[in-house]
Amino acid sequence: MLNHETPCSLPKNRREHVAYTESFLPGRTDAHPTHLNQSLVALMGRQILEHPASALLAEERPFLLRLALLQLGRRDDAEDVVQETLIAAVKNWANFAGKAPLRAWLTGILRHKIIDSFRSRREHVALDIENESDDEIEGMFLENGSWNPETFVSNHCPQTSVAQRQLLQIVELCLNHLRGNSARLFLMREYLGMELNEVASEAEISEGNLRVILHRARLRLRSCVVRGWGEC
Amino acid sequence: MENLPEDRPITCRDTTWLVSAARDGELDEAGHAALQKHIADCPFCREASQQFTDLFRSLDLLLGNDRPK
Ligand SMILES: [Zn+2]
Repeated sequence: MLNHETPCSLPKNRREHVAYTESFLPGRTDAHPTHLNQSLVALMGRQILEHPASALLAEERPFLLRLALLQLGRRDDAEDVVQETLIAAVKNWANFAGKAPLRAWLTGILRHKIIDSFRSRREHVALDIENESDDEIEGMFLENGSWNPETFVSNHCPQTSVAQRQLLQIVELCLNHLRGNSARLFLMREYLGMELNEVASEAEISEGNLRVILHRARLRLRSCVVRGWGEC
Repeated sequence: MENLPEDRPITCRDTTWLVSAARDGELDEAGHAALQKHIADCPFCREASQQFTDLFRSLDLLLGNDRPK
């Protein structure tokens, strides 16, 4: 459990980072949005807390961490890239000046940091693409390939009265429900913007396999998200 | 799309393949045409296709993608 009162942990102390990261795993909410990464304070001094960006960045940090974690799969790597992202954001704050939505700007910076981290790894991360049982997807269709009317959810994306933030939270929650390896491959494509052949060769699978995985991930994501729309 | 069936009309399941291929920028003209033709006749796929469009838009916003893929 996260204890915000714990003394500053320096970047070398991975265990503290892990505990911190765990508090942002799916299903949890960030109860202390003004809390900025303590190692960032250690690196840049307490004046970072006085920085005009401090509270805003702290608010976005949990999301960045979840995104990095989904992509990199290793908590210490995720901590590192997010920290680098926040430092870059503070340094370049004057250039940002609210020209784009903050989250879009940050995810853009994070994207480069993740790609760098990814490429600097000596070894490929072994992706165990098991033959997943696909009961969920099989249940979506009848044997003749038509949608199964009994499982088809026809909710629409709410166009009004729902904050965009809430809609994005639904997608984010559903992303977290993708199985580990599919999520990683899906985000290499959707977030990092890697070409299919790059992703396939990085994961050491065939492009055909990759298409199957992306297709399944999109089907699962749709199924989850439309159910979420029904709750709005 | 390499796997379009030639011997039968495409199914709803096939159309989800086409939607996925389109998202990856891999859908050729024949694929687009087949998709549109099926959607025109199938209320489920019309619905699902709109849902995918909305989902992809949210995904792009969430991930800070500023250009369509
Ligand atoms: Zn259909």
